Amino acid sequence: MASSADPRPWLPGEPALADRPSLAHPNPAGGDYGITLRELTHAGKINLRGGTALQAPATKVTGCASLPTANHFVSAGDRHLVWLGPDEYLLLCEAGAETELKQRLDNLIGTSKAVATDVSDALCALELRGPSIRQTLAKGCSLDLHHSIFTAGHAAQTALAHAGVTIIAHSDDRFWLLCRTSFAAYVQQWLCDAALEYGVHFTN
Amino acid sequence: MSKRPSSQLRRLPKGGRIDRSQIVSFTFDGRTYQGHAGDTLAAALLANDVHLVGRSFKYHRPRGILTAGVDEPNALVRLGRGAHAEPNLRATQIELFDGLYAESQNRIPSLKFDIGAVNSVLSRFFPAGFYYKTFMWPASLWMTYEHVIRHAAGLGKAADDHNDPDRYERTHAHCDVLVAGGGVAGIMAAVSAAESGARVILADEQNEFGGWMLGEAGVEIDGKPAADWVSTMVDKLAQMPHVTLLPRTTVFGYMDHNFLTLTERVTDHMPSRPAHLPRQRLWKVRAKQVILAQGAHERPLVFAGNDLPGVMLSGAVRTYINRYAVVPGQRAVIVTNNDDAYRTALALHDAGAHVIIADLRATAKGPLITAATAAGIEILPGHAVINAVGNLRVGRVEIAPVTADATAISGDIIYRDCDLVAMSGGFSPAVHLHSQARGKLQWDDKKLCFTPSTTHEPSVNIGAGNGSFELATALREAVRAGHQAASLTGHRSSMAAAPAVVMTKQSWQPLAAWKLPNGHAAGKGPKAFVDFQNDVTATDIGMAAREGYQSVEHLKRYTTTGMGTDQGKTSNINALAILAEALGHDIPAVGTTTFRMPYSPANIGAIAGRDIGALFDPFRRTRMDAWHQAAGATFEHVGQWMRAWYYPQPGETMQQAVNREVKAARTTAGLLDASTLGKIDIRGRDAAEFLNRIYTNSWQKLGIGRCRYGLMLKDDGMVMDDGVTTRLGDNHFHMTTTTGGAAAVLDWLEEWLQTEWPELDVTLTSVTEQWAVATLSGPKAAQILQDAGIDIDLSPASFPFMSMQDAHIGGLPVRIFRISFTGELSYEINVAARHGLALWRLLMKHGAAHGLTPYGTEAMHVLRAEKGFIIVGQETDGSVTPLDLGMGWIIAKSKPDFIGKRALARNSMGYEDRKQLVGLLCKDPETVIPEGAHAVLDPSQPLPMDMLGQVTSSYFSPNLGRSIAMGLLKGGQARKGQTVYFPLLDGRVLEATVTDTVFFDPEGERING
Repeated sequence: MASSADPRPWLPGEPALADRPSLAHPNPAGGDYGITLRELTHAGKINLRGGTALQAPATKVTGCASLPTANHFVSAGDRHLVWLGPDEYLLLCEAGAETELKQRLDNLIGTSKAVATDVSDALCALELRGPSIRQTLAKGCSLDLHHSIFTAGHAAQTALAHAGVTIIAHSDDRFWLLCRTSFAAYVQQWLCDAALEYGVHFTN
Repeated sequence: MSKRPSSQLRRLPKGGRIDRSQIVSFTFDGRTYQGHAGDTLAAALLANDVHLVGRSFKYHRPRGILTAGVDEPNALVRLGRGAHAEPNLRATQIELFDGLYAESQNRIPSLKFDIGAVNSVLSRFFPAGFYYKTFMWPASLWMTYEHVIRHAAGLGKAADDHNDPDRYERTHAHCDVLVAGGGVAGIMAAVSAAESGARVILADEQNEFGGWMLGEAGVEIDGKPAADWVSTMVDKLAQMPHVTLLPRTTVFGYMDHNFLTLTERVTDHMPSRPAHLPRQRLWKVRAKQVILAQGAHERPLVFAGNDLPGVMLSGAVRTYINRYAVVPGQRAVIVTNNDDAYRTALALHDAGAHVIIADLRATAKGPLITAATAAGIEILPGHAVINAVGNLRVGRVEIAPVTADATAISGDIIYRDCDLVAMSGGFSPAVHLHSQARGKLQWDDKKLCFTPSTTHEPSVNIGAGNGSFELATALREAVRAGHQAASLTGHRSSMAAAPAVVMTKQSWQPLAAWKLPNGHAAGKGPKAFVDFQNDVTATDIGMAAREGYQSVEHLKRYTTTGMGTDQGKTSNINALAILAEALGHDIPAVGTTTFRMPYSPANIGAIAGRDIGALFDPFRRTRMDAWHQAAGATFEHVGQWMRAWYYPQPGETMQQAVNREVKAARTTAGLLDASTLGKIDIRGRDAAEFLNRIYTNSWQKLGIGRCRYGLMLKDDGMVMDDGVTTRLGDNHFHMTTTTGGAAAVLDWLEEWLQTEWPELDVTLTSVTEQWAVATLSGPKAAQILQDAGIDIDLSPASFPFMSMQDAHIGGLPVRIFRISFTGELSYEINVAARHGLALWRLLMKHGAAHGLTPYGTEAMHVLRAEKGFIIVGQETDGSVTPLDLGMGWIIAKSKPDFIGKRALARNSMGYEDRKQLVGLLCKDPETVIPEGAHAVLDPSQPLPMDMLGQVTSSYFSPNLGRSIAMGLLKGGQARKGQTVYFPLLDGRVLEATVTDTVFFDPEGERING
């Protein structure tokens, strides 16, 4: 087995936005930042493909009552199931839990027609907090994100400016946004620019 | 002490919607003036008795302010200085702010003395279509003509600094109801819709809502003065959270499916623009229902001298008086074919001006005429202004009695001195947006205007924009439209009654008179302008008709009428009425030109939004990027990825750096960041069968842990992508694709699975970014891995070429593929992406003692070319088959099918003159043949030469000590040993020998180190 004398300074590894400096632009109108932005460092992500064969394994390992309906997500504590398509879901979990969850999923799926793939490093998850999330996202996303339409519990795979993203609404002032890791710096930079008029804080 | 600065000669002592407490200084053409907050630049100039504001486009005639809004053709100015300067803005729309700086346009050197005005003297030689007629011949001189014409013509001058320093942005918005136009009809419709809870956007191009009514006096709505009613309603809307009010916002485009584009001028009106705000914002609105309340534009009358400064539209004069408390003249002559101008006459009279009305109609009657008579205003029924004269400003008019249809002079001419002419030729509904969305128009032969008829969009027109000029009618339409739009979008709405209106009645049926007589024969006499911005006269239109330009679209292009920044808002109907008259047709038979977006000019900056600079397109960077940057790497774009190209050491040229990197990979070891390769996880019981159909070769018998190279074809048999795919388990494969092809390949595979082979049990998941990849290549590769602490046996026996093993290096879990794109002993080491940088550092640390050298994509290209390995997209261009590449060995002919198999069976695939891949060795070993160079057999043949094909890859190979190249040549495989020539653009002719494509280690002896 591994026999390196190296002190492993890299574990648990580099966050996707490790290189991006923190940034703060106060709200020009005074008061709180319109958006506060941070990476959900190393959040676990497992891509699920399959139909009904996923129902039992996915709910069992997450504790969610059922798979989400189209354009929604469901949660149980720190674990979430996000609808991505008619036969595709994304499982989000606490950092570090993905390896064990993937193993359990594989065991529960067995030979049935479903697949779980660890994509924790392929995707970057950002948390957006603050009152100006919807206006900021509207600058780059053509979906109707109005609070009467895209309510808490909604999720959508869409485009934000030139990046593919998945938007998850936890509440009016708390969203998650997932993108491919290589787009994360662009998305972060874009959000900080788009939110300038509301005040924006990115912490790393 | 009066707050009114003495300079504002034409400012009324009271009234208007200006803020008299705020005195604002501004500069026009180098002179400083004062105005008030609430003024437009045009209003403030008129307050200072400045009418001359520009020179015309073609004849450089002096021009003044014609209108009070978006329809202005003349008063175009360049606003701001330096990089902030913006040309061709309408003074009638520019909000005045302290320190505003504006310059007139189209004058050399000054407005009052313009040498370009010589064009006016020579105007007999500048007829319609002048450019087309004059500069047609000889064609070769067009480039010279064009340079002069572009300088002489064109409107204003763009900013000196082409790097726009301002911020812009775009935003998307959705609503139930978009109301375009915030006059009283638009406001009423918005209130009517919003009261049901519908999400409403109300947009208006002006700084204040209220439209025409802000310039009207003596009108009451719901028992209040109109302006008070407006502010009550706007306050009400502002209280509603589901309503978005957008003042200073022009709806300029109306596309299919109720998608509309708006420009909001966010900070243009501010003396200093806050850094956090965009200067302008483009709104992309998707509306369920659209209510168009665009209002109407007044038409000029076409008479000689109608373009002099001081000749204005009647409604504009009234707006300046009532809204801005500015009287544009003291001695006014009004010429009209309708009742509305009498309101202007009364407003002028009340403001203390002397007024004469020349009414084309002999027998006009009604309360407004009665009121004017009672006020003692001199009315000349059945009279026309036939000529206006003056130098830089109107000073006198000639008035004559005319026949009942106003086509001929019927009596003696009267002369009147004046400093203002207010003209009204009736009103044209602004049907632009309706028409942009391909809505139809109909001609109303009583109101003499085109009004909207059917449309296929869920939209409705109301108010003056619908030809419903009567205020009470407009409000009734608005209430109904708002109610219906709310109901149609699923809101419970009850229709309220329209508010009561008090307004003097008037007729909205003008006399059909367009071009007024001048007493001269056709084509003679002083100029009477139809299109002010493009200097098109009634004579030009007549001439165009005689020359055969009978379609209104041809007329527009030939005479340029209706072109330019105003797109003929004041001129279009007059032009086509005059054309109809010349052709002897009626107006609806002539029709209108096509209305296209933008309604009024939209700023390109706003359309670009924040898609500029670093945000123009994403830069994708790998997880080892920080190391490459610190090492001073030069990067190249590969799709959106930024890949390390080469790592120059101090003082090294690119060629020197690449040579060093290429040498190292063959003598010691090299390390490449290969993270960007596409990676697809393929699983399911039918995974092997799926690969069998996708690739040309056979996959069923690939052992677990073994790798195989595959070529993927399009269904036309042409090479689409390539890569190595590895069997991780019975039903589990790891596919790699090219960097640039990754997304397209995944889409391609998904499409086949979902549309053609849904019966296959296969799922695909992109794992491109889950893994960071370091490729370690060279004779020392195994030694370096051992030093770095790998926990598996690397001997070729236990870890053979084209196999995969899971392992740990320095504690990091890795997946190692023993595959090679260099021909050397090579390991592609995959690690969870978060550990990519750590893996790279670890390998560099332990490789240092062995001369490990990082190499970039350029060295990678050279290394693979030395081995004759292709790059899809470089050796292939979508027209190249595996056979063309000399890769027939990869086609499993025994397979029942694979994508492209049938296409490869076509006769043409076997033609001997197909372009085939060959090696090329330049006669001069130091010369690298340029990529893309074309080969010929005989360089002395006459042009055009018979081309054999082209060079696809070409490098200097330090390992061979000479240049090498590959190329696609017609019948190339049979040409080995032949000499071909490459005539270059610089005159050189290179000579090369056709060879095999493998230049280095043809026996493949180095693969095990």
